[in-house]
Amino acid sequence: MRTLQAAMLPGAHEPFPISSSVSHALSADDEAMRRVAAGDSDALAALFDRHKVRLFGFICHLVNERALAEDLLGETFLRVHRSRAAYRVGSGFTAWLYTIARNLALGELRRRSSWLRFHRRFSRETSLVAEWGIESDGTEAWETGEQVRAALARLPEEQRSAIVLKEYLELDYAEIGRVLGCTEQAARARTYRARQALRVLLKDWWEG
Amino acid sequence: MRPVRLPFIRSRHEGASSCVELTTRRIWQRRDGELDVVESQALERHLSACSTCRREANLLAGITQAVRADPAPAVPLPSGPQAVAWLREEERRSATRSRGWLLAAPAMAASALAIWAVTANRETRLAPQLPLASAYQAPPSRTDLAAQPLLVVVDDERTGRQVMIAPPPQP
Repeated sequence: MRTLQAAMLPGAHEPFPISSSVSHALSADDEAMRRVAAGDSDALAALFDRHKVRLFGFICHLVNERALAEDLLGETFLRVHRSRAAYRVGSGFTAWLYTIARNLALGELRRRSSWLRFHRRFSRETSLVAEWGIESDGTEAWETGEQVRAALARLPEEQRSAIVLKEYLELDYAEIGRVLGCTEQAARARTYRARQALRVLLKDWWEG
Repeated sequence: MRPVRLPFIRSRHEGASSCVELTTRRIWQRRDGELDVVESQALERHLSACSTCRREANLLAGITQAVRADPAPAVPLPSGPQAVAWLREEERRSATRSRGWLLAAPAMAASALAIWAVTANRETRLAPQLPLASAYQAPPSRTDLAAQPLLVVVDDERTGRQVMIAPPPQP
């Protein structure tokens, strides 16, 4: 492992690790993380501005609640800031960021699962439709969106994460594998299963 | 379902049992950038000819479009500088909490020690005093109990009749 000497700016608390596969040209995110580790808050602000919309969307897909997604967005960047020394340049900032967000979201879902089980026992029909705040414009596209988001909420979390990472964030399968903690092939299989499951769930509505 | 006999299908059918199934696969492959130009053109030709697959393609496009839509935040998301200010505040609060705990820890330990000392002392004072060993009297043995009668018959002077009474205690 090499260390990036240029990153040893005043205020940096430890040598910045850099993975062996990284090229000399750092990505914008890697460069920003290098500056964040050196105590540059402007770089952290730039990272937040660059990723906040998509990260919020990803978390919203996982937890189906906007207010909670907003809280988790802040928590995610708090973790990024606290773990800035642990980030390895060249290891893929996007996958690292979404792994943190997913872990936080899953932790929150686990905490809420007992309440949900209790609620479903007494509620004949629990709405799984995501509370997304997209106002109806009466078009077919809006209705399709609502149906798809409801179907998406019914998928197992691993499949839901896989298809959101693929379709919404347009990550490649290697990156999806890193976020989900599985191989590239497994990520591909989960995405395929998710697509097929969505297709099956929506087929009757689509043909009806 | 119609059998697989369509021109866009390559030599191997990949286990697909219908043109819809294979079309679905091809559409996802194209979405992932894994379909070359020739295959993509073949797919388009098939879609223009097959209404079932066209409907399927519309469904898949709807799925993709819906998943790709951005949710609207309940309140506008903060700007980068606002987020950084919040992070600093959180870090400051966290540090205060940590320092507060460190300051409180010795005081809490001292309190616990004082409570323990008072409680231990009180327990010592309130504990029943055990008799000294020299003051201990052994209970009568089984042999003594067998030798001593439980009841004795005596004459009642008042009535002139015999009555049974417990024997007087022996020294």
